[in-house]
Amino acid sequence: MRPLLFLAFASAWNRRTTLGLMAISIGLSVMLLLGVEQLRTQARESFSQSISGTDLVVGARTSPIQLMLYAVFRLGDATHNIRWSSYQTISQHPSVSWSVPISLGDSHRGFAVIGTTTDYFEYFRYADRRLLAFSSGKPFVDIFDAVVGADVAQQLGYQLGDSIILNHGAGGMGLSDHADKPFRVSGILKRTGLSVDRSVHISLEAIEAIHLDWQGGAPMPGLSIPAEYVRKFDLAPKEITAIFIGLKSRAGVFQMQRYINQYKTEPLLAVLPGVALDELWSVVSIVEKSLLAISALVVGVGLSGLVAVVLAGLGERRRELAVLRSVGAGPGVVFMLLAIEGLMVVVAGSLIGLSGLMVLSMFATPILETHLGISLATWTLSAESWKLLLIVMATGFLVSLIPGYRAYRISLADGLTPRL
Amino acid sequence: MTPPSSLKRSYRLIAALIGGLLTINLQTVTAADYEVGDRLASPPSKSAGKATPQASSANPAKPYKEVTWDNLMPKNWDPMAPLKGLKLDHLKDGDPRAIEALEKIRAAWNDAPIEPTLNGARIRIPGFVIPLERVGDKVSEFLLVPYFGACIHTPPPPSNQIIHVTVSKPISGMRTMDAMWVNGVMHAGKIDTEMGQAGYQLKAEMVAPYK
Repeated sequence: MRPLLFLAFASAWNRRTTLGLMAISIGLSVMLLLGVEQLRTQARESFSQSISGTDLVVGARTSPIQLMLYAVFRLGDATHNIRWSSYQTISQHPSVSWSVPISLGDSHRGFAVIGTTTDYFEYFRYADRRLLAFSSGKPFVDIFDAVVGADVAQQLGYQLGDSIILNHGAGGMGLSDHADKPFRVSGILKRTGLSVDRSVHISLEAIEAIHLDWQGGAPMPGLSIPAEYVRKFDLAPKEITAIFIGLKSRAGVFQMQRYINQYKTEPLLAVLPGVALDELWSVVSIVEKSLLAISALVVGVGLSGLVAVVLAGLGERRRELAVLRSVGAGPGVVFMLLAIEGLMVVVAGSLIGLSGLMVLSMFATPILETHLGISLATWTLSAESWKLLLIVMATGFLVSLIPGYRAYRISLADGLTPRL
Repeated sequence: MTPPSSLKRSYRLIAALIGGLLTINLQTVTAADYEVGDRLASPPSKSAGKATPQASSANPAKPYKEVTWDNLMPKNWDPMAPLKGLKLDHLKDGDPRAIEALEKIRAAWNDAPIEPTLNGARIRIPGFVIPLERVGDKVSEFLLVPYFGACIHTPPPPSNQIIHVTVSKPISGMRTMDAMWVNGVMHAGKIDTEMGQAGYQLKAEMVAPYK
């Protein structure tokens, strides 16, 4: 077996340009296939880690998927707000154990600003019931206190006590900001790998405060209220965007959901996060599957290219094979030689694909994190990806049996004097 | 040199392999073949026979007792009790007394009593799952309900028809409304004094797809 391997390698090395190119093309197709698979599984994992221990997510009436997207993953915009009075009624319902209101819509240099209460840090859980933890500082106390996520602190270089200015809406242009009311960083959260890392948390009263002089939709001349007078106003929140609810008994979730969905004074929607996530996946799965199918086809194209190249190479290798036969190599040996060659190219291609994927994901991770909130683990392949890789290699080996068989037939028929 | 039949054969082989590669990835969307309101039929003896040896190998002394959803309602509980004394056939649709009775019956179902003999019982029951808690992509906590579509499209079933299941080893690949067999130990849940609500809780030892 050993000399056979050496012989196959030496022969392949002789034709390294063609085979090398072939390996690269297989590598690219493998990279595509594994890339799609990795993105799919990690996006799923990242999304399902985003919320835990929450029984219901409540928002204005919209689609359950939409509500999950904006309230939990901070993707897209809220369709409508909830009245504060509705929140108070629901949070005092006897089967509610805890409830956390959030208010969305403002931003700080591209990072979402969330108005909430300190209960957020006490009850909101992610990834297997973990609580948010502070790497330094503490929750907001004063109106103009802010708690920033790990990414916000790192990318903007914030430390405790720094003062920051929030923007209205998507912001970021230096226009329409709340410059007259700067905030002070009172706490920095530990990294979670979720949308929380890219959020600035302030109190609901602070959200009211920065919008006091925005009654006309834009700051009007003569209508500005300096920060020192803000505290004299009634800053009780009037509207919030969504509520996270934990129940005393999880089995009672349907009754509570029914109660909220039939809430008489305001159209509201309550969703079970697990059910809404499944709905989202069933929508996305068609896209996922077609992407996987396309990349599987690309791998198929790569492998048939391999067969074509090795088959075409047979023509120029008739002499080589004839010589081998003359020194005593049986047809079986010739068959094995060709099969080994094909396998070598497929393995080399898979390695190229794997390393390419690692390099690519190193570059893509920060982009995906900022735009989609999906965090990719660069160096780990899921079990499913390993399976795919094995399937590719096995298929590659099987298809390289074809030129092997062909060479076996030729070497039987040609004898020592191939007509060239 | 004429193209030999072996080449033709090899192309067929390639096509077959690529086809195989595709079908492995493209597991068809498993839209459950159930409609809203469908219940799982009384257990097929085949799967029962299959699961019992597994269960007994884990715990030879006590096999799981198969129960139905009807067993979860106490025998002396009459869901229609709030309607007693009302002459239903004399009431019109919009009659306030009928609406009041309907609300009363809903309230009664919300705190439906549980069957006390099931507390601590090792049972085996089929139902549809609604995932509550995930660890990674695996489900560690879910609700088990008796019929397809329960609670999402219809008023919730009585509280004694919902089982809160916790799994020690999270299960992968579980989707909303998958039909599952659940084996485990049943507990009467904590009684929520304000709501008067008691529910079933089940520590699952084995969860298997319903076939």
